[in-house]
Amino acid sequence: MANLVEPILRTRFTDMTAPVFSFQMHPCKEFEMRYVSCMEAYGKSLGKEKCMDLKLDLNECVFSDKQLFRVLAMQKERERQYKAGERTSENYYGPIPKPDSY
Amino acid sequence: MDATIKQDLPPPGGYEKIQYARNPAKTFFRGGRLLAGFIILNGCTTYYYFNHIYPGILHRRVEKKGSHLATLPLLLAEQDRAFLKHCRALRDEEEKLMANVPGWEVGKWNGQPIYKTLDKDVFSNPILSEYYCHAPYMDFYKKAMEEAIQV
Repeated sequence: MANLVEPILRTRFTDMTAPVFSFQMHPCKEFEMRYVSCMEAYGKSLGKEKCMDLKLDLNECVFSDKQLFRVLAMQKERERQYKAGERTSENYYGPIPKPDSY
Repeated sequence: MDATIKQDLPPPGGYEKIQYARNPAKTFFRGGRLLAGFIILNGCTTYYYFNHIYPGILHRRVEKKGSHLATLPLLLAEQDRAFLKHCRALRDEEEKLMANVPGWEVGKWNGQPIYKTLDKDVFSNPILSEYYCHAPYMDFYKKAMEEAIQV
């Protein structure tokens, strides 16, 4: 996450380590950039509420929580249907992706 | 009684002399000639390699690279097509699978979209485990470990 808090003791060494903890070399760099510019516009105290969605989106991009929960829920539902007898072992699985298509 | 006992004595004329002089191996070449031979041999083989063998290697390499580059657009297009087709199939399968689950919306979690601030028209790629969501686990595992497992 972008380090938005300035250190207490600012030296050139802390300036050197400032860009290390960012997502600018990551697929989520666009999300971080939008979140940081929002925080810059609203400030530290107002930005907490105003930029919450952008922050959650960055969080989702980095950790992909919602997508993982969705996958777990769908796999659980599939298992439940199999145990309840709505599914047989022949049509247990859905579409299987072609190799090397991701 | 003729009991003549023969004592162990040196042979007549005495023992052979012990050789203690150094016996060095025969040398065929000395430093200068050896170095000259090394340089000539290496020069000849290098000349032969770069004038008769390496052009063939280069030719085959260029041929291979060229055929790869020629088929690359086709392969990439096929990959993209398969990817998008499978994304569509995932959506249909989710709709069918979660039809009986109350409160489930396709493509959402707890009624919230995956990315709140992105436009509806923007397509965000699914993660690998969602892409292999309805497939057997070993398919996902093999894909995830593709770089580690080099068969």
